[in-house]
Amino acid sequence: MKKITKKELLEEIKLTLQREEEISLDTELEKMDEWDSLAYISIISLYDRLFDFIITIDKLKESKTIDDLIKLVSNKLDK
Amino acid sequence: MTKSTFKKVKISGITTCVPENFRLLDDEIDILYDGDIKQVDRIKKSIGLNKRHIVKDDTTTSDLCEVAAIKLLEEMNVDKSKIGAIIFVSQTPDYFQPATASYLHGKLALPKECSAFDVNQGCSGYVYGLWLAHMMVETNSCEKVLVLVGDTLSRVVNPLDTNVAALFGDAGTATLVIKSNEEQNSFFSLHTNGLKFDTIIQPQGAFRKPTKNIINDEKVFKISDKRLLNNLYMNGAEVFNFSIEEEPKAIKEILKISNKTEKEIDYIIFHQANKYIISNIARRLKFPIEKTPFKTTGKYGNQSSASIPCTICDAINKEVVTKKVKLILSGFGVGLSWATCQLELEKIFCPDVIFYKS
Repeated sequence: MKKITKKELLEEIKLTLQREEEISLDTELEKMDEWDSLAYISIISLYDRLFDFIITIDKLKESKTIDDLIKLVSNKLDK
Repeated sequence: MTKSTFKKVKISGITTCVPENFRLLDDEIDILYDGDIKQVDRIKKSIGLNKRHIVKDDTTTSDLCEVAAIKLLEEMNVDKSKIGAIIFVSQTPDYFQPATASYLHGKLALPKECSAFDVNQGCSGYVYGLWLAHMMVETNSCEKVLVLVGDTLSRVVNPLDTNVAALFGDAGTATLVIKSNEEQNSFFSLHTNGLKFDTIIQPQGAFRKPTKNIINDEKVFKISDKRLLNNLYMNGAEVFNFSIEEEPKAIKEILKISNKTEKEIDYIIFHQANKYIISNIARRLKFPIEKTPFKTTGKYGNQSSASIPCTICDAINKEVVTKKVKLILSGFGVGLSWATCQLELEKIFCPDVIFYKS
């Protein structure tokens, strides 16, 4: 499986959430209209596709920002 | 784990009846999504929802199953005196008591020498019904078993509940399981995770009062005019995680039990939860998406227990009526319960989906 960088993952997350506005590491998840149960399953699916593992819903719920989401997989990213 | 192997049982016919009445997602942009067209597009694109066939007024699951059963019994010219059991599998029966199977036994004019009972299972229910019928025929308890499987969840969901209202469709099906004179191998495995019983639940309506010391998921109690306690509750994200975690394992397990390779299987018919879940399971399995039909939900809605037989009638019936088709069937959901089987359908009676006119 090809490793991806943090920047590439940020772009993947934006595509996954089908969000038109820009997102940054600091973007707060709860403030995005798109952050709903559909977003949860889209992120679960994205991480499964990219990193071949299934993240728990509790971990997603604990995440406050985009950066927190990325930290969940930081050890799997291309440094 | 429950594992079963049968050697002299086969399915000889499958019919599916769905209500003629339908609704489109586009009709509900204002009611369900506050006019948010972007949100509706997301749901269409990601989850694959679009159209759902739902009953009108007081039509019940047994009405749909009755039409499916009559079509099957009449057109196959079945000798009713040989039917030793009728099993009704559903989450939406006509009554608490008696069993809806009893009502249908009478309506279909089946003989007195016939057992009749209901099974309370949803998305895994079709495989449950087949498993029971196979046991009854394999042990020579019955020569033929009529398995009627279906649900009308549209009558349980709150029409304003954004989470589930647009998801579910209604259907009733009939399957005839009979003794096979030639050796016919089929394999079943069934699983349960009862600790997650509240992931999909209709909390109120039967005899247990819904309380927080029994139902752990706090969101169950967050009620409003969009969902009352007697409406269906589903934690969609949990169901998604459960499905992509357990289903690939269940498929690999049934291949092992049946001693088959993926290449030998013509189709895996998953419970048609939605396109998104099926494509994620198929990707995890590295199984070609062409071999995993996924269009039923977009066409008819998530039909709970009826989605597997409906998909057989809708997507692959031209094949099962003309030749031998090797299948894996796998249902997963409410319970949490998941059940998988590997079997063959060869030149069975399997007409196109029929429509119920109310």
